[in-house]
Amino acid sequence: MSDEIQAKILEFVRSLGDGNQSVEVDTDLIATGSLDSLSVMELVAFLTDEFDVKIAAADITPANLRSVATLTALVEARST
Amino acid sequence: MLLHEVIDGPLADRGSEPAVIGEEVTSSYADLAQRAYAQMVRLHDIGLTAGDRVGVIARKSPDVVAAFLGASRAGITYAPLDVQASPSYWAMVLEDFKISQVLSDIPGLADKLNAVRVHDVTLESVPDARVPIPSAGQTPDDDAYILTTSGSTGRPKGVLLSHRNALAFVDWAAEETALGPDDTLLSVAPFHFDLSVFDIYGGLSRGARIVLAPGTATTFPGLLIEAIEKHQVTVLYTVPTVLRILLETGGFDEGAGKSLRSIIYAGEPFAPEPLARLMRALPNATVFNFFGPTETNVCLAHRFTGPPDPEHEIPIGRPASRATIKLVNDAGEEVAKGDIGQIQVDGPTVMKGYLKADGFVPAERPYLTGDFAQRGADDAYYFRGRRDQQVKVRGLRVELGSVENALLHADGVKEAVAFVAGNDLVAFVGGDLALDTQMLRKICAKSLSSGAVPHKVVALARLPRLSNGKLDLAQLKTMATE
Repeated sequence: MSDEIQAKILEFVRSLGDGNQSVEVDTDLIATGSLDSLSVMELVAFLTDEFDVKIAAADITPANLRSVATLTALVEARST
Repeated sequence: MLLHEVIDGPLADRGSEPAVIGEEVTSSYADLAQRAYAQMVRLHDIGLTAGDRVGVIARKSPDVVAAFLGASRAGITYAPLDVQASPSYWAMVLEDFKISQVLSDIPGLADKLNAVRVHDVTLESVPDARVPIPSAGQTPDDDAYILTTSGSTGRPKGVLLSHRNALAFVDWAAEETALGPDDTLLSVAPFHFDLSVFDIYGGLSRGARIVLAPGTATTFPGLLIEAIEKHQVTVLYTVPTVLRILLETGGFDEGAGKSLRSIIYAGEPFAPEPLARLMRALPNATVFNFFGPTETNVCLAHRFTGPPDPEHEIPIGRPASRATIKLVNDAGEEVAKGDIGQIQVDGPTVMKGYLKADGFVPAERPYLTGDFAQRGADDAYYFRGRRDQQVKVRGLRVELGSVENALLHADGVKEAVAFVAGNDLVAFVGGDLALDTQMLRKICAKSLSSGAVPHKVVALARLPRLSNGKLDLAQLKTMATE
């Protein structure tokens, strides 16, 4: 399950920008500038729709959105 | 009064109370005064004197606020630059503003800016501030600070403002929002953006607490929610985009944000529907719409008495900051009531003038804003668009011509057009389908502020045109949303 979530998130993040094709599971999305304010909102909308989870505003922090790995953990924590 | 004097009252009454709360350091009024003094001494030590200018390229911290106050006290004009911009942008702006010394917290910046001397904005020791120092002899009409705005040729312009300019707005705004020592402001706007003038000087002048949100806070609403809850923030001044994101992600659900008693928005219109939802989520907060370009600061303002009726247009309000407002036609004559005219502003907030690459250009008074408005039957003013190609993207002003100009300077680009689509600044370039669009965004970042870098660049072999040879903007706008 976790691998499947991770693969889907990775695929989506790679599609977010032309410079994101080389993103890996542990790439720091914030340090590399792969996420800006608008793509954060796109990403949250994707997670909500794709995995049917509720992501609250308070969840949208650099710690949770740091990498595909942390995003996967967030989705799992919210899909209980 | 001068900018640094705003803390004198609170310093005497409540010196040990928190003034500026940064991510790492909290500075009381007494501590802030000492740090400001230390910054003033340092500015002298590096060879700057009254009438000189200093650049500030740093993340928000109590030391940066102290540097502003220290510069003001020394009679030195400070210029906060967009900390997210590129070194080549900083170098260009510093050269145009004739600034040779910079305070910063960016590691290795000195190696990237060869033409200026870079000093660490953070001071290691805070000296005793009780040593009397002579006044720099400045008056309220002297230069206080410089904000940057994009210019039509692609080169940014400096907006030069005096102590009087800033404080006329600050005093009015603090009064209008009944700001007091029990308030906690969340400073969301970066310091090169004029919204921060209210956060800093409004907050300090009334003995309030100012919580500095990190620069990434507008990207991560969780950080804003956390700061609002942790510090029980009462006053928030930001752009509608930030408020809409907080609202849409449930940031104000289930009582979150209930400490807020004043919400002020500016920079762009707020659609009535999400605004009404915001006001219903936070029934105890009074909402204000502030309006005015950087050149005049807030010259019109509207205070909501309840959620807006979606059927009724939201006004930009009535004159603010002791401004005199007229709506004029092209000949400069006042239009009849009910007609559309350009907003002309006179009053204490009108800037001193522009700093451009070729020198200082004094502001014309009264000042023509380039914004159009219409007076309603209720006597309030209603916004009717801009004269030129300036647009607002996520609350930041962008001159489309400057974006197009930057793109046209890139290899392989034959034609370029920029426009706003939804929340995005989008650019289309013609010349070659295989143009590297990420590279083009980087090229834009070399000469433009971060807000003027297109969110999306699309390359086409050539741009679609109508039979009369004009660009087919309608088709491009459809393509942009696909």
